[in-house]
Amino acid sequence: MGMPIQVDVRDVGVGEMVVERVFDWLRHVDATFSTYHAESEISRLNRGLLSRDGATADVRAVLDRCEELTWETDGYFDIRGSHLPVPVETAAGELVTSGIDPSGFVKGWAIDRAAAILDDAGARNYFINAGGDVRTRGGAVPEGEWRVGIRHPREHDMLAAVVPARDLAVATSGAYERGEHIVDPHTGLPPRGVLSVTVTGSELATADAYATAIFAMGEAGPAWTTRLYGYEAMVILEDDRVLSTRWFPKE
Amino acid sequence: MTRILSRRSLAPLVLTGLAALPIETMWTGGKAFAAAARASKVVTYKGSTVDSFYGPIQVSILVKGKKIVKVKVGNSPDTARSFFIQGQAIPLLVQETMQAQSTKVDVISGATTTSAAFLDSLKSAVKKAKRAKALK
Repeated sequence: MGMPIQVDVRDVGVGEMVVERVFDWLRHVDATFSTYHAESEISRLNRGLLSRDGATADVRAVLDRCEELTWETDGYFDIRGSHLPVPVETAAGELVTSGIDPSGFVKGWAIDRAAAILDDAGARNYFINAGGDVRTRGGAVPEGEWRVGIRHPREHDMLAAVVPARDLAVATSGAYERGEHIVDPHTGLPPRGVLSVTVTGSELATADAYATAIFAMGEAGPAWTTRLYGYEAMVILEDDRVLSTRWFPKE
Repeated sequence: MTRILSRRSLAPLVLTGLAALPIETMWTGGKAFAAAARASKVVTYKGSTVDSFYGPIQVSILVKGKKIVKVKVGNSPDTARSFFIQGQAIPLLVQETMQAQSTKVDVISGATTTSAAFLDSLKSAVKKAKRAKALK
């Protein structure tokens, strides 16, 4: 997936074979969803070689959930990227404008499924960190919690906040991410006024999609966070104001 | 995909490929090394200002005892803009000012990958430091 994946399991009884299964799963996800692999289902969908009905169950589930999230976020999360045309070349050599890239959602979804693999193996105290999106269970010590630092958007060796996490997913979208310039899908332009958005909740895929959407909303993001249910959010604005939902877990 | 498997938390990788820094700016070394490090002073090397999607970025590195002890990144002062939320204050949200803290945590949320502009500026700062023989 082109990013570092860190798996930290504190339970003594869980062996390395289980973590191997996690990485086997992640390799499978990459082969199925990556737009960088010409033979992945997503690539073949984009090229018109595969129909949605012909795709495997996981792919259809991901696409369905992404549609739901587009609706929930008033179009600010959209795997079509931008409502402006995204040209994709089909097998016949024509350019069509229906390319999708669900990788932003798939990253968190794959980690949620990886967590289930660890759970089934009896792990109760772990975290998985996929390029800065983190899913935790239990704590650094049993009965404790994990301390998740939120990277400072300006001073990269500092933290803006610390989130105490137990059975929590933490996703952060920022202006400093490499290559993933989040744009407002309605305009195709990057949003203004926001440095960083952190969302916490039970599922990493959803937290990640919300963080992306809220960031894309720019200055309107904080107002939208008041509509969140079951998830909490913290928005850092460019003037250094931090607006958090009432129960955002901050130390 | 790069794999990091740990039984204990690793010091987080702040920069991929160039240097690995702990989030706290202290590092451990032997007593003699620590004494030598204390004896040398901190020198700042500023990287070139690189244009990025979000405005100009300039990276500075603070070097002490042949090691990078701190990395700072900032925009140039004239890109500062003032923003305000349209409409009234939103009473359902808690408002604070952004903190900057250096404290021990288990893991960091927020991209561990960094922007190309950041890396470009950082590389130029490291080059400067190496030319001055402050870094190996």
